[in-house]
Amino acid sequence: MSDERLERELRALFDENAPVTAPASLHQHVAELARRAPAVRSRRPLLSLVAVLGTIAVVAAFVEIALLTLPRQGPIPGSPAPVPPSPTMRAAPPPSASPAPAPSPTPVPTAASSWSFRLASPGTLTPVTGADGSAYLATSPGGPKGQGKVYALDAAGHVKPGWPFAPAGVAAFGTPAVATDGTVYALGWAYGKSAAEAAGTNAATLWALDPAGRVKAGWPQPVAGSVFMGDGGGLAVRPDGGVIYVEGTTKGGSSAYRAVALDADGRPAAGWPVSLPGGPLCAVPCSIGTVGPDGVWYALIQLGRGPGAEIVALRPDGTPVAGWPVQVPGGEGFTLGGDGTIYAWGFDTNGAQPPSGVPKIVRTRFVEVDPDGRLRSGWPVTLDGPVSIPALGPDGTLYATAGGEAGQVERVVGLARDGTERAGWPYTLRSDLTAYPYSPTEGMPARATGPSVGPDGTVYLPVYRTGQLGSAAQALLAIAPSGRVAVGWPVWLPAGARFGFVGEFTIGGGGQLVQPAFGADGTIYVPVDLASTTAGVVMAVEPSGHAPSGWPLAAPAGSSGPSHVIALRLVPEEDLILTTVADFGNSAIVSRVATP
Amino acid sequence: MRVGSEEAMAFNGKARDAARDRAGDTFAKSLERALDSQFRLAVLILGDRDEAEDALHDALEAAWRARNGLREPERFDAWFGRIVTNTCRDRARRRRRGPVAVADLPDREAPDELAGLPDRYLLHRGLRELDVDHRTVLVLRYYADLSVDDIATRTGVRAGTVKSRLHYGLRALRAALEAGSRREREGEVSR
Repeated sequence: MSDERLERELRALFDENAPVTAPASLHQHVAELARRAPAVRSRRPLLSLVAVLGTIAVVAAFVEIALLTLPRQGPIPGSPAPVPPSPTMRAAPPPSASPAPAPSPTPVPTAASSWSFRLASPGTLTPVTGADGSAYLATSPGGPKGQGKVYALDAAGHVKPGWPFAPAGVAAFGTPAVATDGTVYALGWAYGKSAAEAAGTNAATLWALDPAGRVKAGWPQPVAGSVFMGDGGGLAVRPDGGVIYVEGTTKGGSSAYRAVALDADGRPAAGWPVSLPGGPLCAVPCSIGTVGPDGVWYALIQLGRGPGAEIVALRPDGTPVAGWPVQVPGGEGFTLGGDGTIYAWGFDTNGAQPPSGVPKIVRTRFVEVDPDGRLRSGWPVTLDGPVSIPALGPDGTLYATAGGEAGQVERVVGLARDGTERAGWPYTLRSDLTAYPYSPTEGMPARATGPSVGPDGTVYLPVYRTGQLGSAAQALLAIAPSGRVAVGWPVWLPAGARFGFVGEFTIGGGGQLVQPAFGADGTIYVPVDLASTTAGVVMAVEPSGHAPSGWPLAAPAGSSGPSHVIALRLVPEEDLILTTVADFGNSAIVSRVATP
Repeated sequence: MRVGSEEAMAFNGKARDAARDRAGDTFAKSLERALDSQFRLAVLILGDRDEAEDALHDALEAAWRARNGLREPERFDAWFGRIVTNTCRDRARRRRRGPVAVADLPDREAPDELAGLPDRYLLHRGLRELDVDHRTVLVLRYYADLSVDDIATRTGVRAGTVKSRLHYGLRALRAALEAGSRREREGEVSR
């Protein structure tokens, strides 16, 4: 079929399927909104005050909600009572499979943040913190006139003197990396440079800034060709205070990749750059290369265009570690354990390429590799079908959700250090519970969201009642290390609530749930969106399945539309750093909130 | 003087309220005027009238709450259109978080209104399999007749991204048509 005919058919199809008028209910709703105007007007004094008080107003806008009371202690407001413990959850009375009841108003106080910082454009907003408690975040408004900036906020949330860093002509910055001496590395690049323009002219530049926001001597340094960015910014800090990144160049249709290491003074580190056999790979969340405590840099590299992949390990002097690289066929990602063990996983698609172009995952392989490059005994472990990105328990157990296709999770597996199934595992999900599917890797089919593991080894998994996503039946499941549902769990979200997603208001994200944060006492913090408020809410649940006093809390919100918490992280003082997008994706708020 | 000031404030307050009433009426009329066309877009983007009705309901609420942020009333259509597009996208993504609906369309029975139009049926099916971002740009381009730049503004992405999505979307539809035709020849699809 020609392009013209395809477009013609498409237009005809749209014309045939577009309804002529909107339903009467919507017209009635507009009339109702118009009648509601006086009620809106009555709030104006409060909103005027909001405008005057600036950032404080973001909190104040929800004072009306905060006037309502919260139970001092107990399950999540609006949720059913915790169910008795049961290894198979059979004893737990499931919530009604009938349509969810209308959400009842759920009082949610706004978090009393120690500070909040509002940005007009979200850009790259995962803040990183330095040893002195400063938070660094980069903004990338995009567009030909966009000006990328790097902000440094002190422990009180104020922009530090000398910041933001905003060099002319830089449209975007990746997430910064902070060295132990406070040096801030930031990769920035100009907007809209074509490959031809970029060739030899350094479209990207790497800066090193001191804590006062000044460019350090020897910097900036140009980046030759494409630079690879991950969610973590694509920069790995070396033990000597320098930095490593991967750059790629294309010439005559073939690409070449190399790892570049610079010392703290901007000079090429001895023995570097090192040519790589291919481009780096990573899943979501992604970081390009990881530096271990011994200074070895690890990266997962794709070999050619096929499924071949290997993990390279380079010493600080650029030489490969004996025994490496290690082959990881179909490699998607890896993580570095505290003892230097590398955990990696990959997929086998059997070469199947359906017409849609999305390959089918027929099996998933996990490997554990000792620091000397030897495959640990009992590995690899191969599981049928797609398996989630794994989570690492405190004792080195690998946990992942596995099962059928399209996110139909059947079980949570727990693989012990010797590659065998941990005693009491796998945990089999009841058939009417489903884990969230998402696409962690572009071009790969949706798989289940993986679990998260708390500091005590409890495995958490967000689930919903099969077939009722979007209604009331969403819950957080906690599985004890024994493989049984933890006492007091699952915790069901209030009616109409849903878990928070990374990709709110943004293109992409693949439907990835926001990673929860864990307090030292095992309390889990999870972003949720409630039906009763447009503010992004953080839910806290203690290991007992109860909400700590005063929780959940609404994060500081925007001035219009719903707000969503898209990232949260616990800082050493047990405060939460929240990133909230608001105003239909046009603004973002970074705030610091104390935990109980 | 003090009483007089309070009276003046009260009078000014009433004047402001009256002005807001008028502004609210004007805004409501703008919503009413745009409702049908935006509902059509929402139906095409979401592929489901009930979903579209819910999305428009949410979008109306959002627009009403954000109405004071509308700086240029003459650009109301683009402003409200962006809210509707974003709302549809959010809804579709929430829906997508469920298991992939592989059986949304019947395998062996074309919808009545498409009977006898194999390409149209396969096209319909292909559209349902596209993700919401690609489907949105196709609807805005080939139904709303927006330019690439206008689509970029409406969806909040660069023009290059819009072009890429148009290209990929059409390519995926063509692949769906070709695959469907193959199956049809092999007897997998009957009409």
